[in-house]
Amino acid sequence: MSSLPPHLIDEILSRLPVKSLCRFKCISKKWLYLISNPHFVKMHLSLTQTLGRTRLLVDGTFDLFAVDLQTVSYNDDKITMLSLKFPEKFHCITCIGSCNGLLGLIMEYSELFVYNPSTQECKEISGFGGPTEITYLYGFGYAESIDDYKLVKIAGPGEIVEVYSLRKDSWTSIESGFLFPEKYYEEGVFVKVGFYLNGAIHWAFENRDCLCVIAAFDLVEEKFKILPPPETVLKGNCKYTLGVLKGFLCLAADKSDGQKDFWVMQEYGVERSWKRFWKPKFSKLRPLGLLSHCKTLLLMTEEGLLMIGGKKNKVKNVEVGVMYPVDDIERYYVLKFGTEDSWHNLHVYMESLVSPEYKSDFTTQGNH
Amino acid sequence: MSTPSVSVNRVLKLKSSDGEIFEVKQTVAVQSGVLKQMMEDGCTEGEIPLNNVDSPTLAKIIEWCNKHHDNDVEGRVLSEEREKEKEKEKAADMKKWESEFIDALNRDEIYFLLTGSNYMDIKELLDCAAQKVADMVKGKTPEAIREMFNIQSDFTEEEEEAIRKENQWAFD
Repeated sequence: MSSLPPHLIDEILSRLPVKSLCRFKCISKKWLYLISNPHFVKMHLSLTQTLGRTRLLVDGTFDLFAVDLQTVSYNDDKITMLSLKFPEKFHCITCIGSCNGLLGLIMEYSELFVYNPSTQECKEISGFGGPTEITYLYGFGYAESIDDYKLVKIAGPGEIVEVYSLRKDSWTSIESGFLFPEKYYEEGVFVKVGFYLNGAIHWAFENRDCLCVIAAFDLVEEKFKILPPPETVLKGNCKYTLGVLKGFLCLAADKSDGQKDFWVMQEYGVERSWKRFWKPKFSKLRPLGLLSHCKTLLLMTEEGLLMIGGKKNKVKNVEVGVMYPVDDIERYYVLKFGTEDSWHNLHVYMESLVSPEYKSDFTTQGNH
Repeated sequence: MSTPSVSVNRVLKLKSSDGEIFEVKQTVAVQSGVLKQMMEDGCTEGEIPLNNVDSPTLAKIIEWCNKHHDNDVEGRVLSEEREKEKEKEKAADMKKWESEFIDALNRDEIYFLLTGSNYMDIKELLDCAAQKVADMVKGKTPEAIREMFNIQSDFTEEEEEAIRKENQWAFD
């Protein structure tokens, strides 16, 4: 392998797991430069997407825990997640979005971080304040056309949107001209997380006229757009949950009388592309991902994690637990979902080399 | 797709770096970007010299291309009658064939396959060979990688120590 041309070295290295690449940074200056180069990072990211190297993450506790989804199969009755050993100590970490291997995190409802769990790089986002007793809506995502990651923070009712740009490393305030209904942002938890897809953060809720609204905050244009909901979606005393399946936006509706609905938008932003999939039996249905190696669909519901798969596409409940040491002994704890005192949520993230310390192609080329 | 006018029966004569001649059907040879371009330009008369590919490697490359060609043809003829399941089964069979093909090769053979498929521009084979090398190196130590790729470290001891320390978790 001693005389491979550089682009073949790229071809090989872009297929490696992040852990191997971090270990290989000390091989030579050339390899260190290559592995940190934004162009290579993107090449690696796109191959990781193709290879489907994804992990399942749980938040809502003092650390983050994750499991490699390639090791999970339909035959499992429980999933055990291991500690990511988050470098800072907090009582409660909440994930506000996962995108290209980066996580947006909020600690104890006040401090913000951008974290890459695969490389363990972590960046605290400064200049982030405001009263802690009110509800905020949050989101984290990627604006591809301007190659920037952004955090969004909105205090109810929503006319002011604060946007943090990782590229500029600064906050801006935007008058959005958009209001969330009081019954949405005042209800329930203090942190309301928007759903990232297609360069926008999405929230779905019922407006004053009891109609379904899907608001999307575009991360490039930094303004709200309204996506059309399905025409015949359940309405009136409904709660809506967003998710993504194979890149398509999904909407679950839960009506107070117990009726449920699940829709998939097959062409982004096009009303007639909504398709009703099933009348589910579960509340707050949110697809987490497809395990292609065992043809199994992972679903998050209010009651916990479900799998659909096997020969007859049967639904089964899956226990989710974490391992953590107490008095130096690793112990297994079962996580509870959907109860009064449970703040846990499940997220999916990809392995990547993307750094929370923003690097553009231009600046790295300038240094070499 | 603009495929050059190829007939099933026409063959190309490929000459390896060590002078051996291999006959390949044009319909098989189109998998190589380089040969496809030559066919489109109409310059495939006589022997085509492949100066960077030796005969054992060229034999392997042709074996790969023949297998993938057979699969394509069969797929086209039968796809209407066969159910989706069968198609999937066939894709799985191909994956299995590919991994057996690549696993049977030693390190040098893979190296030559990688450079050969690169030279002849055969994307799928290049992907497969690159993935095999990646699987071979992913668990290795930096020292083993330096030996494998013949790299001399140009870091000072202190620099290397600092980078190792920063990425200590990746060594566990």
